[in-house]
Amino acid sequence: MTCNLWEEKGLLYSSGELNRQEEETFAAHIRQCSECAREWERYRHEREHLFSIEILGENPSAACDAEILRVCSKGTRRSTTISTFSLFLKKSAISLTLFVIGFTVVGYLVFRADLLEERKTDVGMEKEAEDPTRSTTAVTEAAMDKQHDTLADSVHHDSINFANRRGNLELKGVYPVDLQNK
Amino acid sequence: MQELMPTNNEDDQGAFDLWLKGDKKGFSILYEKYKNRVFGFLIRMTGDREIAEDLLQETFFAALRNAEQFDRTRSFLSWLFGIAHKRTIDYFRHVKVEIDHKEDAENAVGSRIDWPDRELSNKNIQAIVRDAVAELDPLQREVFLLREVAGVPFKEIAVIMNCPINTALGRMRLALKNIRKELKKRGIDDV
Repeated sequence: MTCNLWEEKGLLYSSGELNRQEEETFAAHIRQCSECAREWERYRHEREHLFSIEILGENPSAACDAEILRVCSKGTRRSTTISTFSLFLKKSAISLTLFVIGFTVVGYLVFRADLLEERKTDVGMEKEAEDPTRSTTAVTEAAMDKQHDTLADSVHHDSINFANRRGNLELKGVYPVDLQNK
Repeated sequence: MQELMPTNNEDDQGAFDLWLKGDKKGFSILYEKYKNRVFGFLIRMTGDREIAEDLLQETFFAALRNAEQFDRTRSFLSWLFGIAHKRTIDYFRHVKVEIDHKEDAENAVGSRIDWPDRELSNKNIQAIVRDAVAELDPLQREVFLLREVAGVPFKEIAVIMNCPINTALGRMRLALKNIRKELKKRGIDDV
């Protein structure tokens, strides 16, 4: 062969892989170049009669067909969906379990803190009950405090009543006797 | 334009989507469409029917497992033959049968020397072409089968075989040259 263009472009032309411009150029070349035209015709003929799927292709056995169809006909997304769903379920279950555990632990700690505080109070009262000296003093002090408060309140109330009474009388032009005498 | 074995990629992707959704019909369409090509490729590569059937199953099972990884910018056919190619490579890596296979092919040559005198029936032509393909160097044979049996374009063949496109084209030219030489030896010249 004196023309090299078939070697360069012929196979890509036959597989339709040349771009449009290259394809048109090569097609025009084939019409003019007898060598390339012969090569093209030969290869086209070989593909049609010798390299066809009828010559080179082959079918597997029925058993092989059946096995492949059995396994592959189930599809892929179904299993993917199932696995995604089960993954979601697993994650949800783990989250829920952790939440329940956390909630229980926090609840227990709060309950225990309350219990400890209650116990402390009870223990304090018990100790006071067990210590008579301390108890008497405390009761006496409490009684004295109460008495003091009552006394202070009555004095305060008396002075207010007295002031009110006097103020009202002064407004009406009547002066209390004690003031007139002075 | 000159593509002799066109495959409609949109139809394939439609069937593939059906398959993904769990529709049996989707897989049946794809399997019926490509099983003879994939099996033809595998049997011509391995030279053994049982092994080819095992590899065919492995190819489709691998396609099932890796369906989510299917790159939609490529054709389904190229993707499927990419898987078939890997299965074949794995097979040749693990089982050293290449030498035996070569020997079988060489022994078979002797039995077909007397054919040229007979009238060539279609069955004989089929056997001669298959033997001529079996005689090829494995790399040339694979490019030839991917192109002629699978109908995979050279750009995709280069991707599948992890080589430059010019290497794939060079192997194809050599494959054609060698097949023609073998066919001529056995009485088939310019059909």
